[in-house]
Amino acid sequence: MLLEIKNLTTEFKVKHGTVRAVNGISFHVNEGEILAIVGESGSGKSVTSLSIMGLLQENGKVTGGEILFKGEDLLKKSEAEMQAIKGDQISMIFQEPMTSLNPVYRVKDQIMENILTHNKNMSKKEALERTIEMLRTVGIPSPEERANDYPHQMSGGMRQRVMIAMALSCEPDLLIADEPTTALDVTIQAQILELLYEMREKFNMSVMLITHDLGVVAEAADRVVVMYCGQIVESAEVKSLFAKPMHPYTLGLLKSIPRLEDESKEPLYMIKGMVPNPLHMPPGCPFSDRCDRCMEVCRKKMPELRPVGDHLVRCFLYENGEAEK
Amino acid sequence: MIKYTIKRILLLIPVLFGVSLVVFLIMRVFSPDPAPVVLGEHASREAMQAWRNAHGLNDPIVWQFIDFLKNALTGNFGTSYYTNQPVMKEIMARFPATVELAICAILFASVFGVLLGVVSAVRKNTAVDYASTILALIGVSMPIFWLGILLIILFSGTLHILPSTGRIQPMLQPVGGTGLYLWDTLTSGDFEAFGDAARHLIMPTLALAMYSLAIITRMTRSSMLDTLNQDYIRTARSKGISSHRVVKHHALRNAMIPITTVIGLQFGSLLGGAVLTETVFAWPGIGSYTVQCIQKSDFPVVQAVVLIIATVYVLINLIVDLIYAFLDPRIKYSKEEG
Repeated sequence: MLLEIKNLTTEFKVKHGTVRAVNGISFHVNEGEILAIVGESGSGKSVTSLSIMGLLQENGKVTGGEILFKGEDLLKKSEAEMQAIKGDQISMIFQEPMTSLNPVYRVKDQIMENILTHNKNMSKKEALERTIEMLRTVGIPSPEERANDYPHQMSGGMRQRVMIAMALSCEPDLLIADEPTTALDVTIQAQILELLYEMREKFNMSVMLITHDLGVVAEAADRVVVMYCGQIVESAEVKSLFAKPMHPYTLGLLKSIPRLEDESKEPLYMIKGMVPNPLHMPPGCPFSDRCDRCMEVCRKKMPELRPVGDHLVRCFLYENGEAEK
Repeated sequence: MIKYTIKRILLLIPVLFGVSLVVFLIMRVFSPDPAPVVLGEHASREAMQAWRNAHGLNDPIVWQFIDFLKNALTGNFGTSYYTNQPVMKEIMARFPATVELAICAILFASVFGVLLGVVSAVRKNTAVDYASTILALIGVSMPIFWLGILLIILFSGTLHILPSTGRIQPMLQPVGGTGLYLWDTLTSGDFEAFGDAARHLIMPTLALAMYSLAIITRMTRSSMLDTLNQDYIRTARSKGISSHRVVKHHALRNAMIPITTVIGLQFGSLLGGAVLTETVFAWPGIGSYTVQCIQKSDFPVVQAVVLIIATVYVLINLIVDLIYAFLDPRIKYSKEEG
């Protein structure tokens, strides 16, 4: 197990109180696997990744749990120790390639900065060679020249490739990709996913892929964690999840993907309602107001995450063995 | 870039034409007749008429303006009505004092303003931040002359450690050179004079810099806060580089663009002469001199001073624009503008 998250809780202080963005979640990432974390905006998936990296904004704080990376709790590390890990053993790419690179520095300088930070003995020349090699690896044509470009001289897809080259420049064990394809158009999305997949093979690293797009999950991931309102509602192997989704929320997400082979004239399924306001969570299951199969108990009590078959599911429907569907 | 620079310098011509026209008309329309001021109230009508004729003040105003332009093009701004010295000589005797004071003030204000602004942005809503806010508030609201007087009372009156007025002791005054005493004394190796000039500069610099310091601090703070929230700062942090480097290398460099604008504008206005500071500290600069000349209707001097200050202002703005291109690679003048 490369990364193990135990009972992670992250809270944000806001004007009218405290918002618990991540509420006691536990999951793990195995070596060499791609774990997808899926959920709507506000489900806490990005906050989870920022908590791991220690990149929360000032008003956010991890208030409980453990983040075990190679068996050591990252939350107990000093700032200097975390700096040595970030960018070297764990690195991250972000949703917005257009704004994630510093506009005033050349692409090569930004990648070399990462390499030189974590390889103090390396000469600038070696770092530059490594940078160009990385740019070539992520599929940037004529990398010797493009290395001198500034970010604004590149397209979104190119910039995301640069971000990937930078993130992988120190051959990390874990790459956290926070919605890496969301801001890109569809053809580029596929290329970037393909690239992540290739890089996983090449560098034998694990990937934590955060996305709201189940299409991306199906294409890339080995295992899936579905998050809703800061909690895990279901987790399973990707094949099993798509074949037999259990939680009504997962089911809703899957049903709302448009399919080419679907010839019925019915309108596309939509999960009704909105994500509840994090300051006014319903007392029971946070999904109860939007759930097609909501029962009385759902509005009163919070269901536990429990194993059902080869899934973990948080739903009263499965309280007494597997429910009828 | 060179093409752009040349273009901007050529644009100086219409600007200076406009400026000289406006100042020429204002002086002619709103200033009192200089003749009685120069010759004294009791001078005869004929003497005044003769003086006006001699100085071309009875010509049609259009001819006066054309004459002025023709002479100005050759660098001849005429002579002062009072001293009969060439205007350029009068100005050059005082301009270095203003330049020296302005440079010291802007350096002081920029270094400490940027430093304070960065610290208060990084330590937002802490005691340091509040202290710098209060300092900035004092800086913008305290009248310069009052601050100047307080400084004099404290450092000259009570503590007797700094001279209250002037630029340097007359015995130590450097001869020739640029007129920038710090520079002249340093290059000639006269360290006693250098020390004396520096001591004379401290209080005027402090008084003059306070306002700019306050403005630069606030601008730096808001610009840094904006930059620190950018995605690329998060990327930089995710690389595991030190927070010091994130702030200095990634945030400040981006935040410097609006800060440079403010520094440039402040420097421009400081060079225009700091009338109050110069008056309080009896600093022989261009600001207080110009005010005297305006009061005495010394047309040639006022016209020349305004033209010189306008030129300097335009050039500083040009330099600021060129610095932009250096700070931000997205700004390229040669392609779009050239």
